[in-house]
Amino acid sequence: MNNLTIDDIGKIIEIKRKVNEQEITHKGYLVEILNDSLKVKLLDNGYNISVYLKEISSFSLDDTKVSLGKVNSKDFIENSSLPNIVYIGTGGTIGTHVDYVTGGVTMSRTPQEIISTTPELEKIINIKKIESPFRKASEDIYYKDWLVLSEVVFKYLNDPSIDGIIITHGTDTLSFTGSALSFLIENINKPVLLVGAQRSPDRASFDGSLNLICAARFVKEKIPGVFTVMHGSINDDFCSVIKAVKSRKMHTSRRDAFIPVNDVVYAKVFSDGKIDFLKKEIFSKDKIPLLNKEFEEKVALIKIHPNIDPSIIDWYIEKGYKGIIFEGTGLGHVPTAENNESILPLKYQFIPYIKKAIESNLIVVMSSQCLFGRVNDKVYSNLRYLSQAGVQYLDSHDILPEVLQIKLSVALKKFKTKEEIIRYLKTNISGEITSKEVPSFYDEVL
Amino acid sequence: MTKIDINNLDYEKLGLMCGLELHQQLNTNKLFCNCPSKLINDDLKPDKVIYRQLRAVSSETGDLDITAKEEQDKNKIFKYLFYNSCNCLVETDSQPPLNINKDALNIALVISFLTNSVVVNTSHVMRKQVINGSNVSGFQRTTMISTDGYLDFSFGRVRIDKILLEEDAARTIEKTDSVVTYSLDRLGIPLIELVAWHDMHTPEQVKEVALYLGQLFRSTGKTKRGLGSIRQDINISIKDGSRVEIKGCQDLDLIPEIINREIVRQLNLIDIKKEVIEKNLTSFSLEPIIINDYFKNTSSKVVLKSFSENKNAYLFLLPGFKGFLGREIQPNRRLGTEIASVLKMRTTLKGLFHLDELPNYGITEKDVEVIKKDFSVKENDSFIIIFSSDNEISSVKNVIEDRLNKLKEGVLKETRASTVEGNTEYQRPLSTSSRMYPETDLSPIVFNDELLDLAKKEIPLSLEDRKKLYIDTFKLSSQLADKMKLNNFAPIFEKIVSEYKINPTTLSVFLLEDLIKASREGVLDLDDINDSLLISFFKTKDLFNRINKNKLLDVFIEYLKNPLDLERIIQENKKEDLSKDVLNNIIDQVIEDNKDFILKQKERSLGLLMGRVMSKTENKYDGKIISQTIKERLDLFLKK
Repeated sequence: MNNLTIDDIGKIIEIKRKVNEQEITHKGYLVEILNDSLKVKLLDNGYNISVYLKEISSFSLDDTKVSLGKVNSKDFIENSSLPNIVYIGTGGTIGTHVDYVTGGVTMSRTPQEIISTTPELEKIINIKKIESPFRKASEDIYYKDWLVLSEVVFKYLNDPSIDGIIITHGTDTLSFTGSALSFLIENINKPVLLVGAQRSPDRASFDGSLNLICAARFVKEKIPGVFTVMHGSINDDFCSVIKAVKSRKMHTSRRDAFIPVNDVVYAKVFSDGKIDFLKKEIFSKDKIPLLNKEFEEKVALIKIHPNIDPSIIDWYIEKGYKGIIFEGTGLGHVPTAENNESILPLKYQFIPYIKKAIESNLIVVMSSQCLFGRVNDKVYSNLRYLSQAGVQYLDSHDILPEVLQIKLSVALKKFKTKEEIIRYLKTNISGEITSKEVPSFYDEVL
Repeated sequence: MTKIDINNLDYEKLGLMCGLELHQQLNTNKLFCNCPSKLINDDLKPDKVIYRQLRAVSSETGDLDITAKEEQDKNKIFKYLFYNSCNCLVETDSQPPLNINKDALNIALVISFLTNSVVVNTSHVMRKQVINGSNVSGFQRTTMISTDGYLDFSFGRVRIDKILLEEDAARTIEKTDSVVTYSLDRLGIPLIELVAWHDMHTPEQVKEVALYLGQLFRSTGKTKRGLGSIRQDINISIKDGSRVEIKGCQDLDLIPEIINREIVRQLNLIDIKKEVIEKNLTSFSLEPIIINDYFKNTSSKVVLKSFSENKNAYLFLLPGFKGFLGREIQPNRRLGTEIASVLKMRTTLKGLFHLDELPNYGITEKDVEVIKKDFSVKENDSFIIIFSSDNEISSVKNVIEDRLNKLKEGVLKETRASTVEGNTEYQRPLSTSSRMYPETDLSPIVFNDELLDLAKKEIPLSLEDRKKLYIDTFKLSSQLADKMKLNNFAPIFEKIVSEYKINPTTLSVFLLEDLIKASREGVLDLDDINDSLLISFFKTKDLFNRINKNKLLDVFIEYLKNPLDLERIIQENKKEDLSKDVLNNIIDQVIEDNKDFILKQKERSLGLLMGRVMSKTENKYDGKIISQTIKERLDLFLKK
């Protein structure tokens, strides 16, 4: 099969396959040329099969070629009576396309191609501008993408002709990006809505359409802030609008993977346009947005567990890290053993290492792996040792660990002194700290 | 036009070609998750109800599939009934599929070998787009196992085009105009699809092949039984006709009737084709006319109901079309019904009225006459009246116009469903291969030697060989052997008998009668019994020396509940070693208690005594010994 080349992919191939004494014929589109086999999409029924080269007695090619993997694309008709929005596509499942060569999935859809999945949008919003600063899977997102994205968003927050911004993004780090925007841009004055999908757009059960429709319907409310807009239940009935800094992906695969942690759903948006507001909050829209252009990437997030080796902290100090967030157990613990080696051998005790980190000017902040509820530094004596050693509990905050990490990364570049940084961390910037917890924050999960 | 005699069709002259597609459910866990393949009783309350909608999406070549478009037109809400006992997130399209079920794959390979099919080297699981809601994901997962097989029959060779392994769809519970309710129990049950080439040329040949293939599937011992576990689709074409696929022919005996009636339909449509071309009735351009006023004083229930639903009465004039719609194209089925069945599938309408059948349905002769006069309907003309809402009338018009204008094409390629009488009605156009694309959440299945060898070991005996073995070696009665050879337990029956030296008659009666009876009574679920459970039960040393044969079922039921406790259960049910004296005493007491009856009935009282004694000994004795002893004691008593 040496004479087959990549150019032959998509051509009709007729393969004679010899098995035992029988010779059979497979006719189909050549999909892939592998080391030991050819992958063919059979002409008469559409099935893909692979045939071993060693069983192929002969083959012939037809020059008719189809281009496999075509996607529809849609250009929008302007309708300025509808809310004007900017659509920013960044990749993710919502922007995936089935790759017929590898059988895999890539984030290659253009924004126009994503919009074509949901023609209903045309009747709800006026897409004035389409941007696509990068297109990638959400696990590949890193801070420089956030800096680029926040600059794009910032530009349109200052454009008076724009009512809101819809960003499509992979769901794995959807709320991370939402948090990054929440701190990189201060005084957000328009809705910035992050939308993803748990099922890819190649299938009829694509959930991204409803998510997009609900986001589009929410724009007209002109509520400023960064929100995630995803399915609110296992049904295709409504989406939950959740503050990005309180939103968390809590399920690997369900459509309604996003739930608020230490907060309630801000609003439920139904496909027919009905909106239920579950939270009363007054936002000022007259603020002037402010862009923080830098982000400290050297902030570690350490999850505490039994048997953890605290000397990992030495490694972070050595690598020049500027901050550490602990994802502590319970109220915010790390193993300390009250300095008593009969309880826990010295090599597992954190206090000496924490002291070293603080002496090396690292900011060390506690959060909880419980996710729900607030940290506290007083209830147990172990906690007191920690806070005495200089671990920050930020007046018993309820910020999610990964959100705290992002907030510290912004703070470390924004401020010079430790006092300023701590004061900033304690200040509620984007709804990441609630002043009080009510039962519904947790009851809704149960 | 000559009337066609359905009982005297010359299949050879007609050029009849029939193909067969069989779908057989397998008795393993589901194809892409670990849920059991169990159907749920309809009156059981679901653990969760889920509502979804589906969207039409473009295929890999960028085209919207025609069937998909039709379904989207309907804009339905799908309601899914979820049962914790046989569903998980996979069926709700909320979790990616797990690896393909190894047992199901194995059975598909075994059937490939049995049909001389060539297994593909590597198979890729495909997504076949289905957006009527019966698959929550919007597609059915399916994979090709083998191609190019054949089987030889009395009339010649039938080629087996391909064998596929796919997941069954959700089960329709209820359909309304806006909501379709499905039970998720059936979704994901493995199905083998076998496609037999159109090498069958008479209805009897189709029946013969279908019957044989059904038995072939069963011989693996791994197929589901009962209504709906096997489904047949038949492809039919005749000279000058077209390929028509008829879905859901469940009853083998009805197959010849369905084929004959379909031939009649095709012949009639070919006749109508010639006639419409001849009379130049090939390009209707319909204009809906609102005629509500003509029914102002009507007492027709159908009409009044339509008006109460805010529908209008519309008239479509069909110049020169007199007699066509009333023409019978299948026994008791007219061309008008044919068009109505398309309307039913593609719109929310339930039917239509046409001039050839009027007056009827409360529409009076006077109504008809006035309409005829006012719209100058001439002797050769016809018309259709339908009741539709404003927003649907244009699709209704399109459907009718399209169907009328396609009469000049004769038989259309389409998928039809069989009715109980054996007629067929429109379901959808034939789907095309553009509805298939790769399942990206699963790796390809490589059929390596290890996998193939494993399957080869499982190839069952043919039914003839099986019967011979059962009668000659196992000494089963011919009647028992016939039943046992077709039973799902046959392969495991053979294994247990050969390896653990269990009496074949005892075992087959247990498997064929005791278990079935217990399952009917609801004390056990046949789905819960698998090969390894049976083996570990029957390999128990000295099983039949330790428990009474008549206790076998009780012990087995108890064992099913606590498979790890078999030893304890046997202990608790072990044969009681009561002395002959004790038994004699019990029997004598029973005889004494029923003295009068016995003196009257003499030897005929044996049955009654047997029952009384059995209940007194709480089934602890072997029945044979009891009946023997009763005879002895009774003889003694009567002699006295």
